[in-house]
Amino acid sequence: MRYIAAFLLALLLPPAAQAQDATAKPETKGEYLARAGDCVACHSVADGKPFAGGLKMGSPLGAIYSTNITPGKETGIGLYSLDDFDKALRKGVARDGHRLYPAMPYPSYAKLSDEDVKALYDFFMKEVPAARQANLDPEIPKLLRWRWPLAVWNAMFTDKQGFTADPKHDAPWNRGAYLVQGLGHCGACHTPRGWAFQEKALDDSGTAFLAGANLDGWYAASLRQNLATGLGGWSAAEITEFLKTGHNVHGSAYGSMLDVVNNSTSYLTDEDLAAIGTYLKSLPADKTEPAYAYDASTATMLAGGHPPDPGAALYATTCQSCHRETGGGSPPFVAPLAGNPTVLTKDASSLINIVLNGSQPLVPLGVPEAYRMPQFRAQLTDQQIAEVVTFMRQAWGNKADPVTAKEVAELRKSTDPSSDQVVILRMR
Amino acid sequence: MDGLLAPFRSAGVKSSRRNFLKASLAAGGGLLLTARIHGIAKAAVSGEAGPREIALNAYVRVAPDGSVTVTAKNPECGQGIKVMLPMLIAEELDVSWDKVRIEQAGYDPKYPAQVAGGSQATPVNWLPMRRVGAAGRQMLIQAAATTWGVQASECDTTPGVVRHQASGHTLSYGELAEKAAAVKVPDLEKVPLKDPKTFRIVGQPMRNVDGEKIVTGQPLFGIDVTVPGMLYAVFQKCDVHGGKLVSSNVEAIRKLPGVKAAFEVKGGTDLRGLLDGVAVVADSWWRANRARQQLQITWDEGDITGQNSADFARKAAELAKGAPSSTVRKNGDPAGALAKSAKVVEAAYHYPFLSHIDLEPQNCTASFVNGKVEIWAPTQNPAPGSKLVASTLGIPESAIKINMIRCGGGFGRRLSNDYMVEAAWISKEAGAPVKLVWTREDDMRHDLYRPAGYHFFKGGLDGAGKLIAFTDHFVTFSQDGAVANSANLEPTEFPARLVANLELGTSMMPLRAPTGPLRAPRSNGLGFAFQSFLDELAHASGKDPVAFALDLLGEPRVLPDPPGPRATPGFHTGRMRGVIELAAEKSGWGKTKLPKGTGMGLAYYYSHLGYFAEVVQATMAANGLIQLDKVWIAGDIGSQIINPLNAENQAQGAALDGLGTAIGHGLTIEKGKIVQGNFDTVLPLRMRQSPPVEVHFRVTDFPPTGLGEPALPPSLPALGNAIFAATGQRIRSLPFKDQKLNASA
Amino acid sequence: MPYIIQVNGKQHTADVESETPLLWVLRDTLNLKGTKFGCGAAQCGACTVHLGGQATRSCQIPVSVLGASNVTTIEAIGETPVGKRVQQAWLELDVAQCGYCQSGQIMSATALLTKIPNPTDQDINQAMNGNLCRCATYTRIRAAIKRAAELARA
Ligand code: FES
Ligand code: FES
Repeated sequence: MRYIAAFLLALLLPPAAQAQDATAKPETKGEYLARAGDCVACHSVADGKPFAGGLKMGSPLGAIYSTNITPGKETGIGLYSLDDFDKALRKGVARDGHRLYPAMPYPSYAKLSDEDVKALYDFFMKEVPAARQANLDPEIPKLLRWRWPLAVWNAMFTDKQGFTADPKHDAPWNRGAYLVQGLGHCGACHTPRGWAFQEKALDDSGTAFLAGANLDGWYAASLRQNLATGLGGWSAAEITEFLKTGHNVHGSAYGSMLDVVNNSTSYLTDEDLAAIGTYLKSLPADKTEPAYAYDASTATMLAGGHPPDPGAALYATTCQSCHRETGGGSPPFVAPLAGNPTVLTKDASSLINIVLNGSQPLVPLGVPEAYRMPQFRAQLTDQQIAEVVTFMRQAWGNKADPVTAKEVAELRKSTDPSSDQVVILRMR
Repeated sequence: MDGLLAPFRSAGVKSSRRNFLKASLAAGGGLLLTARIHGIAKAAVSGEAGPREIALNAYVRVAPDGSVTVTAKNPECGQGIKVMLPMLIAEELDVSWDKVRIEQAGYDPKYPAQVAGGSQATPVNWLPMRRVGAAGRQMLIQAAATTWGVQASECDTTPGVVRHQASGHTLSYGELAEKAAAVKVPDLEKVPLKDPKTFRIVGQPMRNVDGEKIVTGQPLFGIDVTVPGMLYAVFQKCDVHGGKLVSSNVEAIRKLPGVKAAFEVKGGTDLRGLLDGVAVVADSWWRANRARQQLQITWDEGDITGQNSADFARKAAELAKGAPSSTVRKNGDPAGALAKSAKVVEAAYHYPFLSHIDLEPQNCTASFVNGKVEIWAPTQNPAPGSKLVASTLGIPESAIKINMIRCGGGFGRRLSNDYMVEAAWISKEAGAPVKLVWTREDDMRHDLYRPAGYHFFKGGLDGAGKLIAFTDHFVTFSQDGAVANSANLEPTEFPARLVANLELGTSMMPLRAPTGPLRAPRSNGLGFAFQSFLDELAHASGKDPVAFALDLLGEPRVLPDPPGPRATPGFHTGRMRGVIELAAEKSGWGKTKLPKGTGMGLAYYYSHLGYFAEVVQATMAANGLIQLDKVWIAGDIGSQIINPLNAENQAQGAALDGLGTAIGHGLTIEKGKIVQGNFDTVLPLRMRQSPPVEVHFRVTDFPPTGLGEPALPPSLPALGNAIFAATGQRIRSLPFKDQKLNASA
Repeated sequence: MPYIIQVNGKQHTADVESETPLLWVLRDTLNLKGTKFGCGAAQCGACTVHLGGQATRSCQIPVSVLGASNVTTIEAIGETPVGKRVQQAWLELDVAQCGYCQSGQIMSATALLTKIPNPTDQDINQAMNGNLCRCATYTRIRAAIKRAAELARA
């Protein structure tokens, strides 16, 4: 009940006044679409020029770097015609004919309307300042750098069709579908990938679509209506709140979703966010599971002061003061652990990752969040993290498998601690 | 008695001015004693100044009701000085301790040594404060003798009362106070002092005067100060120290909730003064800080080439291949002796930059009105703060009033007053009294850091295992061309003077970040490196480390310092032997049979005139973590432990501070910025890691000295040496957490 | 917006943003300075208060989630028998050096002794793990907790 009250309260509050300038609301349609596509998150680095590229991204073959998409003539896309731009965006073919790695989500962008492509083109050509910054070579072994197999890959896995509205659904649903499948490219993280690293489904015709996936040591949860591990317990309004602020009563954004909220979804209109909520609520569960039910005995045990095992003891000493003996946290500011899909989901990578590395501050609309998850990488051993995470996954009615020290050790090696610095990527 | 200060004088500084004691009638009646006594302080505060003459003032008031008020003139930051100095006066005055009220003095140029640093308060005040008390007692006796018409020599005192032995007449101090104010003051140099054997206060356990307030949560610290009309301030500086402000969205910040003022500040180039930044002032601290988090600032960071911890390490290793750029000391023929040695040991040691991490983040309250500013500051060193505020705000020092507030930890951080000048400036610009409070991240990222250091050692042993050659190439840091604060190496660094062929040399790397003294400055890093390497040599020699140390020290004697501004009374090998033997005895060194995976490590160090040897016992637990089992401390700080209750606490705290530092502190610099910001990345010792600590003092016939610092340096190497004894693994780089040896239980 | 909160058995109103941590409401709005700020990140324990009897870091409790739960701070902990004994033991053993962490330590120790009247070293390690003492007075904190337990038995 308390959480619901807190949530209602949050809705009643006037939005905090915002410091204006680089984080101002989008001024043009093109800029808005660029926000919706979150182009800046991949094509900029924290201390670099907007859209000048240079972000290092892991790929199964080796690291690659995002490219300069400013209108600079030598190093950017200044010489691109609308047609060139369109080919890159929707087909993954650059002006010089080379094929883009599918880290660029052109299989999703293929859904974009001609009109939106034009608006985006205008934004990048006329509103983004040109930056002279050469692109970096991929760190992929020379032999594997041939890009012709990508043509085959494209032929096999990308959708030739653009988005067509489904007359069985209303306009908001269709708008939501367009945003989720297209510009939002949600599937890039949330849809499991197949043998050739292709997303297993590009729209709601496949049950794998947005069914949850592990990418780079983070597990992007299912966005389908799974009762415990998906969005089955979230209302459309809660989904909207999450996308707008990065928090709701069920959880908080982290990992690359944090970048999505910071640079993209917090800038979308309420109508578009509601449309996304409507659409996501329509995706049926891909597996049956019991709904999460709260169990108060953990709270009683923790309040009593005699934690029965090392995991519970660690929770009591290191986690409880924020996430509380109830596991309820202080939503929307401090995420609950009881019933949180990130805690319940089979793949515990994200949960381990957050405990190891903490969380970078969320900055929806340029306002950093008030509470930050610290890192425990230096304070706890692999064994201790495994114990405490296992405890969280089995407390308060949570039912998920234990975690081993080995899993923690692997993630410790492959991840870096997150910085406490507020990062705001500028678009202009 | 005067002879006790002689060693200082031998350093070439003479007391030139006259001491005086003035007696007058106190407001409200009674006796007021004002003393100004000159003494010599060994200024270990900054590591820069030599011994200097200082004047100590004391105010003692004996009221008609017999109560005694003593002004505590020094800043209190947890070292217990607020109790200790009044104890000395009360002892010789002969009053009972529960009649004594202690009053914290504000900053006043008439107290020229209002500094908490260098563990110097004890050696400097020991005699002068006692003399003030003794003089007061004599005057009270004289007043009574006159009243009774008897000789003063026929009278004596019991606490608070003068008694005529023959007649049994008594008069209380309260009754005598007014009359005593008219008595001629005795010559301070000649006033007889008590035989320490008769002490009733000194040497007794005395509790913290602020204890009640602390346990009931009464406002006490700088951060608790409230003044009428006060607003709250935060100040955002460039994380590259000294970076220049180019532009900001400060206009937008002014519109945020609760914000009363927000403005850009153009500071200077002195990293200890006012720097560029943006100040935000609001009606609550939280609102000020929330608004500040929305600042978007463009900085000119200046040249940050090579300002990375990784680059420093690489460069240090490169420099170590060549000869040191300057020689600190050379004896005999080190190269030749190394070549002739039966065994040569070589090792490279490293310790990182450290932040002081006072638990109370830096803060200051200031009220600027009509060209005058009143300041409430938790500071260890108000005098330079006053000068800094005066020169930065362009006002005379006479327009500045500084209230010294109890510090929530000092450790050397509050010897600099950057936060003070910020508060004063912001109050002036905002036109209101402000309380400036830094965040933990501000505190860690804008400190004056204990400099990192890189040592490249070589040691040569002859066939009998005797140390015949020793060299250290110390790669350290420079700032603006000169050696960085607290980054120097002295020619007396142990084992100098004890090894026939020895060379100490340094090379420097330029550093942007400011550095400064941290509890046991220099010794806190040097102790780790030298004492760990000496342990390596002991093991290489095949001798037990205690035996190796005693051999090295040889016969009890004083090894004099080379004459110069930093000279101390010299290093007494016998005092060091004494504490090593005591630590070995108390810990059962070599006698206790330790289980496999458990080991004891010994280290010893002389700093701030104190001799300390410490033994740490550690166990490698099954989970691969080091567990601290126990610590034994043996210290020689002279003839008198003034307040044993506090002394034990200080010694335990210092050793545990050292262990925590060894395990979990350490900063890295990337692109000129400190990476760590809070206690999730810098890990002070916690309760579960904290072992029992036994403290033993060896009382010797030397002047008493301070204790806040010298108990710290040996604990770090003692832990490293214990880990070696337990596991066979030698750790040559701090902090240990980076070696996956985060101690835990 | 105004929040009505219960602190030390009394009702107070704080007109602050919903996200405002209890710590700053206590310190700046209610002028209760005993609860200290050390890290703002649940890492030091200087801000420890009791919330419904649980030792809690007030820097991590948004005022808007308090509802009707009672907050007890160091200023009122001496009104409980356990708190009073803890304060007494702290004074007796002269635990504090700078003293800055001690209100938080006392709050955690009181919560521990309320739940477990005779704690073992392991209990103490666990309950006090969240409270840093930069002056490292841990030896005496441990002894004082045991002394407070002994006072209760006497
Ligand atoms: S200030 Fe709350 S835990 Fe440090
Ligand atoms: S007494 Fe200083 S921090 Fe604990």
